[in-house]
Amino acid sequence: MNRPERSSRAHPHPPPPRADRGVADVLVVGGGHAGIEAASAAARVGASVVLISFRADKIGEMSCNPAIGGLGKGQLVREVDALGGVMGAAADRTGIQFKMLGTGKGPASQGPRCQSDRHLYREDVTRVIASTPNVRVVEGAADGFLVDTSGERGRVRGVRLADGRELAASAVVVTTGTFLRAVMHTGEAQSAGGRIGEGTSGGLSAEMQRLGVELGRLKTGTPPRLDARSIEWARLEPERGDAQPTPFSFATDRKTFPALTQIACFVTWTNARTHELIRANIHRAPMYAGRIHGVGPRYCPSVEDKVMRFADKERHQIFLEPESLSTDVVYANGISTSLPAEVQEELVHSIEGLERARFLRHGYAVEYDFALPAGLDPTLASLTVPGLFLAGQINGTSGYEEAAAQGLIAGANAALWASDRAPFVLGRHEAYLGVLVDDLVISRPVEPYRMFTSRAEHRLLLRADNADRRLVRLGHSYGLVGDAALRRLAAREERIAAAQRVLASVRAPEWGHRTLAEVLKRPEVRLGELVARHAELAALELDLDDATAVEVDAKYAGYIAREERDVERLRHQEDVEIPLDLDYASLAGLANEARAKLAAQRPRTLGAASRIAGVRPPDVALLAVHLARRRRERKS
Amino acid sequence: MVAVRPTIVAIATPAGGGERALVRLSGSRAKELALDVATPKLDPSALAGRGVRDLRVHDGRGEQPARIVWFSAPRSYTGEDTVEFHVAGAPPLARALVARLEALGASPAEPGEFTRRAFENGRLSLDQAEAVLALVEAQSREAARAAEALLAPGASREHERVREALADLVALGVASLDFAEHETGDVPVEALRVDVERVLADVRALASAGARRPAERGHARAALAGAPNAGKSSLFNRLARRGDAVRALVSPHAGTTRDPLVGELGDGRFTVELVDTPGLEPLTSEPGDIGEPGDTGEIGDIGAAAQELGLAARRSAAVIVWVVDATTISGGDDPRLAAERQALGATVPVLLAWNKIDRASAAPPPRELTPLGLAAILPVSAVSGVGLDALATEVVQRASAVETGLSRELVVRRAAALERAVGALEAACAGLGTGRGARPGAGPDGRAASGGAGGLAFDLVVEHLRDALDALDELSGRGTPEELLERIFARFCIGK
Repeated sequence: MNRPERSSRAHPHPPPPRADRGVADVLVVGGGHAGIEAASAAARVGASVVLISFRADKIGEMSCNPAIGGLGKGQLVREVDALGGVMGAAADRTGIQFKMLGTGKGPASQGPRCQSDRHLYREDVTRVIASTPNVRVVEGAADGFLVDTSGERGRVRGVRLADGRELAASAVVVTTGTFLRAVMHTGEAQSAGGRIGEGTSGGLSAEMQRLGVELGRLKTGTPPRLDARSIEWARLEPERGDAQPTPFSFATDRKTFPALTQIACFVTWTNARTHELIRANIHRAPMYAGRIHGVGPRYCPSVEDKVMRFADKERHQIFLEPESLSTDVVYANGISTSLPAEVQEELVHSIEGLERARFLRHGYAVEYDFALPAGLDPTLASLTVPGLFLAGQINGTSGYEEAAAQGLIAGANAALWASDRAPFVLGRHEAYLGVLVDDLVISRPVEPYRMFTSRAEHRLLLRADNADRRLVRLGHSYGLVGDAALRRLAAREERIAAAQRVLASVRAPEWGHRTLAEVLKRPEVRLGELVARHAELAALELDLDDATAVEVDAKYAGYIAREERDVERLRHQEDVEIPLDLDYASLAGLANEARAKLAAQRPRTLGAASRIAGVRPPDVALLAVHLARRRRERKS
Repeated sequence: MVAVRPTIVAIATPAGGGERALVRLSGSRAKELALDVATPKLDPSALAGRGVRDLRVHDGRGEQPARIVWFSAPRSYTGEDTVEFHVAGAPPLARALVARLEALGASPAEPGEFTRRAFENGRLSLDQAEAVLALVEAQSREAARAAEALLAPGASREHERVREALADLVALGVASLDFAEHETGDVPVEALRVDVERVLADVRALASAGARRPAERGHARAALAGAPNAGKSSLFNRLARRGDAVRALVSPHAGTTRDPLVGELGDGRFTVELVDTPGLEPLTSEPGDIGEPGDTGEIGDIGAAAQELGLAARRSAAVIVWVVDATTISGGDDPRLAAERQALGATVPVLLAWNKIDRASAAPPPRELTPLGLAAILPVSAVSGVGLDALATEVVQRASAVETGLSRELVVRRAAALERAVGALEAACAGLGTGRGARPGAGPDGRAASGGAGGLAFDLVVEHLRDALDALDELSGRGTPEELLERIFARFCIGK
């Protein structure tokens, strides 16, 4: 791929003094999916890392759905993996059902997804972190920051634990998820905490606010967990994974994959009786009774939201997903709810196959603080507090994959900053990671941010099948991936090239002796058909990703060339940085609408400015000229 | 390393003259692309330095005569190699040439982009660049409003309706890429194809409705305005050199003109679009005046709508002809004059047509009218024809002197955008297939094509639909992913 030159951005603050290193270069607060990737990425880049978690055995907990990937999200996992991350390979080792989503919609729209054994996943990543050189896990509850006030603004130089211990470091990455001032709701009952059975971090919240980090409040929820032994499985439709599963990780050995027994999920439906129960009790739902003030996500509504907002839908689908091979816990996907416990039971018992279902845990809603991501720069460093990096749900996002992606970016950059090296920033045309961060840093989310493929303007370039071809070399240049990944990439590129040579030279008698390359260009011809008929192709043993790459190269060439041209055309705008203190009011000639939007969103680059609705090309051109004037005046 | 910027192309029709269109091409590949379209084939050395040459250009469909003017970097407006093609003023020809140049690798230039490059290449000072860009900005907003007013009555509403229908289809397509089948249901390929075809027909209708309007060809506009029954329509009928345009309905009843009427006025070199607008004052519908007794409410509504259209027409005009009935005005200090002038609210030159001098006391228009902010005062009579030539000359000169290049460019861009939308929708339709079952040669051994009834993978169909929406949004500003998501969440119950 024709990769444009990378921009030479700077970190928002000068690096910390070398003398002040403390227990580690980088301190990671939180052992969720963001914390794991942050710790691992920082260590890969060469930093010494301490990871602080409430409990050392709760690293990598799946608080909600025991599944990884999906449309848009699966691409993120692939990218994290291509950059040497933990999530993809761990999911491959612990997955109990794999499915490539979107295969019927065209090769550029596929996203891998899996159901995980949540216990095995947790054990797996705990092992990975324990065996990562340079990472040490410290059990404790972070309660505040160590702040160096000698400079112009307060610099975070470590963390104070609830038991009084103080840990100093160059940079601190906070990945506390939904634990900041978290409140759980089940009907009228409320309790403090971000996850059942665990505490909350109130101290950090207050301290971040004191340091000038702007906080907001969001809401999310989780469905009931049921006892597998009490469900009448025989009455329900099974839903199985792919017959030939595809792993997430480019490093996973396909001969030993999948490692675990593969299971089926089961489908059932809500019905008129369920909906009646919900309507009759809606005044007891915290959202409707006004007890929750945070805003819930539109893409993951509670069952009460579904019934109230889509009143004409007669039934809603429920996926019963076993959480583990070794337990009887079943995740009732589709009925996230915060209704009172007794109502939850009644409504679940109204559903076919669940008439006698036993509750292992009731559903609940969580309200929590998040830090407005508009206060971050593209390395996920706080703009106001030197030394502080934020990643994951604390930035107002949703999902393990989005958290992992940010963890990688924040961890790598905390390490790079601490050692005074150039930052690692990805463009929107390079990765969903780039889209995610770029969207976040100008957003003030009103619902948790989730990745959708429609957020990417260069969707055809950012595919799951080519994440390694897009990112491995770049990751290697930052030390994020090792030589083995480079070798794997080279081997894969050789397989693809070999396939292309075969396609160009072999002719198909059944297609009027045209070359296979020409035949494959026809929209209705799939590579699989050609492989079935031509031994030369079959001999290459292409996997699904190779096949997708070959197919996309053949069929989408024109579209991809056009997108690359668009990227090239807009590239220079992405590199022009806009100072955050730019006074838009003083810029003559800008239209009022554009001026108001720019002042409110404060885009960091000309490219980001051009994507704001209401900012039109002449406004961007004017802005470019003003910025040039400013640079010139600064110089003289 | 400094990356090479793409070569850009746009129609940059000069102001005034409607007879030629100018296509400007700037960038390192400008000369190469010019050589590609030129016929007979030129030697590359022919385009050295700067110069002018008459030749023919291939636009992919046919040949057309063109005068090319070339400049070599850095001695051009943009500081890059630049080639200008002066072609016949028919927009389809200029657009065909632009399309050909884009197919060869040029990118469409955005408003202000030539100027921005000129600045960045040191050809313009900051002050110059800022001044030009501020003008471009102001004009492009004004022109966007103007372009709207140029459309046939109701066309912008129709544009909006079609755009909404298309946005819904895009949301449907995007939803099925972004979410699993169990959330959004299977793609209803047949129904989608029918819907896309309907939108395609609507966009084609928009495009051809636009092409019939003289203003769509990019002429500057003059608007007739004034109190009801001041004689605007009579003047319009005398002035307008109209082909098949409808003659203004003249009646002694005030308030007869409800839709702006459009004609042309020219002096051989320049053509100006002349628009008749409804009377300035709010209509007081008296029974027996117009319409049946009892439906005054409806007349009131029509009157308000007519006033709005009149306002839009005045806003888009390069010059306003303010028609005053000299027989009813007592003098320059008549308060009605000041009130009318205020209602006009124009920032463009206003010519006062002192009408009905055949019946007025024949006194010259009073000097004290000048404080009303007039460019000229012209005594005329629509009945006897006195003063009409002078008025016509003044209108054409004033209108053509006003810089209308940008609004003309916008009109041409709009047509090009509609064409692009048509192309994208056609591709989407073809991609969705023409029906189920095998097409001749669809697969080896006559098997039915795999992967749906259509010819293209669904994600490419969606890509074409998004393209079409982008094209429709080009003038009004881009839609955002958030808008699409909003539509999806309103329609589908997403989430397991």
